Amino acid sequence: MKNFKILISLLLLAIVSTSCDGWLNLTPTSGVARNEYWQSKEDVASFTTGIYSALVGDDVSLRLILWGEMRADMLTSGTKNNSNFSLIKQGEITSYNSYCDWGSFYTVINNCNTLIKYAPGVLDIDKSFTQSALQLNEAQAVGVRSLMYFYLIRNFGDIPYTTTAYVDDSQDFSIAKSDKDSVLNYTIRDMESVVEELPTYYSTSSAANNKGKFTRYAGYALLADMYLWKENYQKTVDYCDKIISSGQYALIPVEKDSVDVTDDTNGTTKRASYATDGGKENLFNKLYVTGNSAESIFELQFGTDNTNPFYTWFTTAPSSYAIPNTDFISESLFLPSTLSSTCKDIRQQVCSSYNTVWKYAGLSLSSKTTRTEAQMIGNLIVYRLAEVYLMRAEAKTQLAASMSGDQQQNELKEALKDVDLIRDRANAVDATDIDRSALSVSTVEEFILLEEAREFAFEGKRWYDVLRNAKRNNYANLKYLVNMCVYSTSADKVYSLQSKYSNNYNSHYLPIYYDDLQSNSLLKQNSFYGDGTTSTNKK
Amino acid sequence: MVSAYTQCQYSLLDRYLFNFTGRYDGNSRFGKDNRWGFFPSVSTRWRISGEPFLKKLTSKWLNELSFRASWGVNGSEPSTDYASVSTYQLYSYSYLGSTGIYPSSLELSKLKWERGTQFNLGLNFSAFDNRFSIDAELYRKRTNDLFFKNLSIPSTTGFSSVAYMNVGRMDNNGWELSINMTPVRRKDLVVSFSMNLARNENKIQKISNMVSNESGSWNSRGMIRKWVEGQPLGSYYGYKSEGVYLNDDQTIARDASGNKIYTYDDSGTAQAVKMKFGYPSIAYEFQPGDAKYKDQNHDGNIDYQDIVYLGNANPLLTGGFGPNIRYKQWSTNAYFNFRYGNKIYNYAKWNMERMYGFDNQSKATLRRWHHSYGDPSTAPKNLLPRALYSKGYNDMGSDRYIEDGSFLRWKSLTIKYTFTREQLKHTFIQDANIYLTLQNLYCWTKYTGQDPEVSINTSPSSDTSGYDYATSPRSKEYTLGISLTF
Repeated sequence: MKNFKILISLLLLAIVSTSCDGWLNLTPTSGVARNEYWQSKEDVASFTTGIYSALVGDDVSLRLILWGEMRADMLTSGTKNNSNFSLIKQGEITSYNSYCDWGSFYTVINNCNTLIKYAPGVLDIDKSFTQSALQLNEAQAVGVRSLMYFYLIRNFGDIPYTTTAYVDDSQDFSIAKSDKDSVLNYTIRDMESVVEELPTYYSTSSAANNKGKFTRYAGYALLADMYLWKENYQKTVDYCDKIISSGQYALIPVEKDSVDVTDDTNGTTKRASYATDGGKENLFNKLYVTGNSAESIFELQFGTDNTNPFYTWFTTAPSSYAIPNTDFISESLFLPSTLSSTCKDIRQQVCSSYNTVWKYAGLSLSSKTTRTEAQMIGNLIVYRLAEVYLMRAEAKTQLAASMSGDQQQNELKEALKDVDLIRDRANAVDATDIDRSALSVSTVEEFILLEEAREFAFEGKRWYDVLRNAKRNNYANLKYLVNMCVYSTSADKVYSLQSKYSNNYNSHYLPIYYDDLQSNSLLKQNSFYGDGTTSTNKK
Repeated sequence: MVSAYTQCQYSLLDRYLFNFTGRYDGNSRFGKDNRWGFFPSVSTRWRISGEPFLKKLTSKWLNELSFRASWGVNGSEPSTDYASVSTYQLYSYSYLGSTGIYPSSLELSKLKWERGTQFNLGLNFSAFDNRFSIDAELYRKRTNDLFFKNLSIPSTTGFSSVAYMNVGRMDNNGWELSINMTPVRRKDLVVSFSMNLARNENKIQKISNMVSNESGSWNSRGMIRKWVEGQPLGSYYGYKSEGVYLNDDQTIARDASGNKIYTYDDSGTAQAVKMKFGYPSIAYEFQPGDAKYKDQNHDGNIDYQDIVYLGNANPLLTGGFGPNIRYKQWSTNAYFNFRYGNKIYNYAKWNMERMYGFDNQSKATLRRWHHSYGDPSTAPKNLLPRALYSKGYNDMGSDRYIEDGSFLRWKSLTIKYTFTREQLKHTFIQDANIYLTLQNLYCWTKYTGQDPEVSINTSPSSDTSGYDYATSPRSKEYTLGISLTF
């Protein structure tokens, strides 16, 4: 009897283990398991939409602007407490500063890589999913991924580069950094391989679709920017030409009027032009309020169900995290006209009004009312036509450096034509112009750098413009970075920051966030910040 | 979850006992390959006092002497249901009118049962008509495939953490000793005394290189925790605090012999080198009134090389004791508990003296540095650093906040009067007693914070063991009660 009992119980054990295995396979109740996804072309399209949705998440979109402004001279701390931002403004950046966290960018990159890994499999499952649709989605994924890597290289220098999708825990998570020039080359190569597969437009009726998604021209703009960073100027000019000659984009015009100004010393009369209120309002509204204008090439879309993250940063000034640095803006950037006080560069009012970063906070130039939190739906412009013109001008100026004599002067004059288009539109004043009779590469280069600051104030470009010009030809013009310190930090920290920038060029890049150093055994900290303590437990 | 369980027990001559159990579990929270686990356990007891050779010698005074040993394995599963599945979810907002989808987690296909193997050795000794007894126990619990919840993984994977991962092996060892004696046992008076002691240690034997063995660093504000494989967990690391810089002269860097350090500027004149924090990446120059940290290597720079070991959160000994006295109808019972040899991080004190943000601060900040003291001997003792808003490095983890957490607490006192049947025979009540219990009477300790009995829970995923957040204070309780049986 005892033996029989033992036998029965062992038999039950065997039955239980073999038959219940299937019953123990559970699927989640909210959401879809990965092995049940990737079945149709709608699945692929939704995943692509997800990539854009990740771009407009708070962390990524904030850093797209903040990384380009926080170490530069146009923003300064407001009265609302943000200790991480304050420490950055003082030049005391540690790996514990949350703005050094690149995780949200790598999430976008991983989503792009995941799409590239699984979308081809859908071709076999869903017959209505065509090869061209696949290429369209893949190209957008590569485009967005390249954009992410370009931002990471410019902010961190050497970074980990991966095209592997991370899907389960059997993969090795640790990855080492690659040299920044190599990553830039890979990214350029990736982008060039897909740019012709991107469409020139997505919709004939909706401008939002053509600006909110990655078009071929967005790809050209990114390539021009990357080649400019790489110091390959002919390629920059070529890609800028493609965008400008397409006829798809146009600078928003500003209506002007003029007034006669009499010079009392010699009795001559000059015509001084100024922008009408309506003209200024039109520009501000089209670019920064309504958005998706004819000038915009790639613009991240926000809406009432997803507001942008700039309310506490800019809108509640002066008790906001950041306010415009009026010292720099009024003393160096925008100077009063020598002709008449009615002549003003419209960009001064457009970027900074009522001591607030007006491009994000304001609804119009004539009213003092700032946006409410629910009204923070202004889009984030990544590339617009004005930047293409100034990139081409900068590239032509550098091409002129290898020329001499009349040929150089002509090339410089060609470059200035593009700059003048931007200046005329904005009614730039003569006080900020350079002496046109004595052109040289260095004066034109510095002129373009200042013009870029005037045009793209607070659009997340300033730091990259300064660093790009400073590092050119092996930091021949480190002075741009060192001089910026006078305005970019508080008076008692200027000398220390200038020493940091001059003595170790690795200080131009951000440290890697501590969390990544601790979990990634192959990742080493930027040597300027590297101090031997974090990232222990390396085997 | 599906389980099958079996148990066998065998006893021989009332002296030798054996017990075996086995269980076989399958759980849906694991992936297909790691779903099932087998967990056996075996235990044995040898009543040495029942052995004939011992009985002859000791039966007059020895009541019980037995020796116990057991070994068993049990398994833990994750507490989240779909950890092994990679779930795709919708964004809560739309982009250009469509809703996007994204992968919300990695698939944890390799996650398996966490297996805890416990080995116990025990001794029971009882003598003199059970008036003296000792219970001793030695245990070692080894956890293999240790779970780590919400492990941070490299963010280059696109994910910042995984819900669970098996990361290594942890040992939890210790011993427990319990002694009871009844020196007086008469009809009217019984006096007994009991005491228990214990010591416990957690050590990590092996761990994946994704788990950080460090939390906090030389330039992050707050305490640093570090552990080393093979050593007990719960250590604190930080700077040694030396008060504040009272005047400008004190902020000049000194070498090992105490001489000032000078450098020469461009024109050849000597310039004093000021103490700095974190040169070259931070290069903050200390000002009079700033917190002074000990420059261990005398290089004029306060950085990671000045971090030292500050103590450990684990006690050397914990335990309790108390007498129990019964005289006629009165009985009284007292209990004391104690902890010895642990260090507490007074987190509440750090938070209320930092003066870094907008939080309310304690009155201690009234004795902060306000002005330079030309003559350091005129300065009051225990000055706090100057108040700085979102700046400076006056609130780094240092021994200013580490205190000895040893304490002895009079935990409870109960006085009870039991009515005899005689006294109750005219009432309808069968039994009655009335009692007064006082709890948390007094605590003897050198700790300056609210309550030294902080939670000590050392594990690789918990870096806050031994922290005193000073949340709700412990209440003193008085209970007067009456117990009746009808």
